[in-house]
Amino acid sequence: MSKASDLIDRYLGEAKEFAALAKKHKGTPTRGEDGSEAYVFPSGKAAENFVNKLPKKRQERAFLRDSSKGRVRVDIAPAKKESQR
Amino acid sequence: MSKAEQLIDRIVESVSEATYMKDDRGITYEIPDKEAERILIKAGIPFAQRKMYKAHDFGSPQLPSPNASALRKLGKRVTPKLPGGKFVDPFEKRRKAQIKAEAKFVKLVKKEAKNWKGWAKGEGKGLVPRGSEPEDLASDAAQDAARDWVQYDREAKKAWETAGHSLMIATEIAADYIYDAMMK
Repeated sequence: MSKASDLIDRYLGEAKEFAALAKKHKGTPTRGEDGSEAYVFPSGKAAENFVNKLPKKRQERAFLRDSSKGRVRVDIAPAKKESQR
Repeated sequence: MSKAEQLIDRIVESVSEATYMKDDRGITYEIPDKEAERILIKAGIPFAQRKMYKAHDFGSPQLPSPNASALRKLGKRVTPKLPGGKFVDPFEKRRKAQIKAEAKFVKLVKKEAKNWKGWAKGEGKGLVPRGSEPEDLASDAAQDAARDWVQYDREAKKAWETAGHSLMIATEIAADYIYDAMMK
């Protein structure tokens, strides 16, 4: 498999997993700032539960923000890049 | 026998081999030859009529028998529309377009990464940590570069949107390429 298709498959798979996890915690996907992935949760607790279930590397990149009507928004920034060598 | 007639015969043959299940909602049919089903769709036969041809053998008097002459009655519409070449599955067609768009995006990413490789070696020399130094700065730099590029490069954005994926994934992929180029 080429590097490109490998990356596309990996990130698409991750995005699907996150969306399913967010749905499980009653979150709805939304467009984040700069096109980043974001989810809106009905409560802070639901948002925290969601973040706790994310892989460790992604937890560091997840940011909780207050949204309107007491909802909490979780922005997931792109993963930190690491040298393949 | 013309090609259209051959196809019609094939449909009839396939229909007569169909297995079915009867329940309180009606009859569910399973057509063994998917090609025949596709031909019916391609021929522009509406769903209800396709169902009729599938239903012929199940003791429903109101339904016509799907013999060749019945199909030929429809044939006024069917025959000219029968595919002369290979049937193109719409899903397959979409997937092909998606792969093409993805490939275009990757080509543009590679081009952009090349620019950053040049930058890291020239203007940005010393700004990007290398070797044993912490690589977090390079990761952040690559992500910033990728985010800006995805936002402002119209061609790349369009290609990626044609592929039907989110921009977040585009940023991730671009950042991976740019990071690798910077660290080379």
